[in-house]
Amino acid sequence: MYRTVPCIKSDNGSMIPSSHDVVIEVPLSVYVNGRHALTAMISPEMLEEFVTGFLYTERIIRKPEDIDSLRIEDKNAGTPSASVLTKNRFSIMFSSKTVLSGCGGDTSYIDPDRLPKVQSDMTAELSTITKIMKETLISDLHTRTGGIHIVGLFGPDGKICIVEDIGRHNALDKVIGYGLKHNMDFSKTIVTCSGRLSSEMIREFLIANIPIIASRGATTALAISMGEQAGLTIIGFVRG
Amino acid sequence: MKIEDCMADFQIPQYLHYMDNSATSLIPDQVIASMNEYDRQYRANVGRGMHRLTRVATQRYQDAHDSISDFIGGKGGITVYTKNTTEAINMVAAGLDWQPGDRIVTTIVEHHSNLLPWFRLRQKGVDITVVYPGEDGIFEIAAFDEAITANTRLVAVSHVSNVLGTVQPVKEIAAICKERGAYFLIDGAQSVPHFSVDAQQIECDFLCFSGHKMLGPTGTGVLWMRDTVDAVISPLIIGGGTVDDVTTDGYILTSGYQRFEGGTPNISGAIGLALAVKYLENLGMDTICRHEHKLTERLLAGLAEIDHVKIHGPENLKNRIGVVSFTIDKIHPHEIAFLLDEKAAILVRSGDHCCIPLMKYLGLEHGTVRASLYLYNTLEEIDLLIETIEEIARMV
Repeated sequence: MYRTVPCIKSDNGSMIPSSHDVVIEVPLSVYVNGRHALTAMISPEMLEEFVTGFLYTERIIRKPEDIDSLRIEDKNAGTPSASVLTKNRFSIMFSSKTVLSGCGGDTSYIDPDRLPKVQSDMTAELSTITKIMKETLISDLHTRTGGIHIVGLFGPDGKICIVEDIGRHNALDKVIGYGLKHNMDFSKTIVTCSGRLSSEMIREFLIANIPIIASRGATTALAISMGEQAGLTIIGFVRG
Repeated sequence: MKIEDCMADFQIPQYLHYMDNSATSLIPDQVIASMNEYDRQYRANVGRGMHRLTRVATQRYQDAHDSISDFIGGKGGITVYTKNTTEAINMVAAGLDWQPGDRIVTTIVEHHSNLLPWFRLRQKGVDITVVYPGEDGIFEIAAFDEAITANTRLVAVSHVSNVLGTVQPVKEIAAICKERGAYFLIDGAQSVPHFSVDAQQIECDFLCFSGHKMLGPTGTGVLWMRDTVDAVISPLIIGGGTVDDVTTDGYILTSGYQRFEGGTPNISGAIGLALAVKYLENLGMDTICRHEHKLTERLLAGLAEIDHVKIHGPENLKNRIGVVSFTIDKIHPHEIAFLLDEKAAILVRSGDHCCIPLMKYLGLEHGTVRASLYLYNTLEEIDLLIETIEEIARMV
């Protein structure tokens, strides 16, 4: 997940030869039914979970069983690719992610009416939220590199998984993919996140029917408005 | 899926009593559909090109290799598609760098396909040692212990005899081979379709079998090679798809199964065989094995009661499967097979079964009649077979 690189550090006006740990970023090309679906810049772990979560939140699949074949290959070391065949290999032909935020995507419009409402009666104590946020943010990788986002998935019995990735969207897709592969009931889960909550992430929560999302960071206005309409509980600036 | 439910997936058993499964099995509708799906929906060459169909076909083809590998416990090796068992064995015979004085140990019960490729190596100065079984075609492990010497390069044994139905002690033979540094090749043509075979667990070096004997299409077979030995086998065919680089001065062969599958392979056949394997897995190999044991027990008991009928091979279920060879005094095996078809629409094999040396050893000039059973055969069919043989035997 990281490697150590040589660098020059500035220390009280002196330039000192040193080294620093940096996170690894790789391009992952995803092909669905023979067509290029996306290239994600990603941390090179839990790639199957990422692809599963991505396909689900993009509504290419409705359940993990809709994936007929998923192969991750890394023929050229450091440039992995994922190839997916779905049960119906003709019905799913799409061009790109439906919504992108903060990175110059070609679509930015969301029709909240087309997104599902949250179906859950889940509630959580503030003390629980604070506790799981603390648990989420314990990261050796972040301490070393300062270059990752962290997303956690918690259920009634506590931690289900905590994922670190260079991108918070990637981390969320991985968390959702993990939950799908382990047959989790998302209506009884809380997601924690180290970074900003955007509309794109809200869209993913709603599709997965995750009822509560807590972040250490801020939330966008559009994300809040979408959350309100769909009955999603958004908790920002969870600290201390 | 229950075993009786599978009948609906096969057309031939609805009209005929097919008991020639050691030669080739029938094929279920699902396997045919999977091959048609390739031709109709995503037909393209594999491992070549960038367009969407070639990507889909390639992934299916790769998945097919993985399915076959999983089925035989082949994770620690390379699974190569071939035309059949015969081609798989020939690939090993032609692929090893034989030296004069090398020794091969095989047995008298082998199919010609597991004899001729080795016999031909005598031209290169290779010595062939043939091991003979005891009564009923069962081998004593001591016979292999004696035959496998320090200069033995390879031991080639069929897991199950296609004439006698006997199951050979491959695990024990593998242990001797390992100790003496000999490669061990198993002809699994008659075992892999009928019971669970795990190459890793047996610890063989090569496992060869045919797809068409296990609900797959004709023209499909498999050569599995342990990881450590694939590098010493020179591919039988090289060309398109087998290289990493080519210059006018030479070429660098690629690795993996692609190294051994030169040219455009039988893509739909590979996909069909993978589906056949899934079909068998859904039924469960243990379920299939138990079903065939039940049929075999009834058949052996019935034949033993008929005057003038002689069973060749074990008369009990120990170390045998549902390949049952028999003769009737004074009636040519071909005539018996013809009469079974004419009188009762029962289809069996007759003759030497590509095992002329074994027939000579057993003193069976005209060979035997062989009923070989599979998952879609029923007890009612076995009773019909016994009754019809009884009727034919009364002609003596």
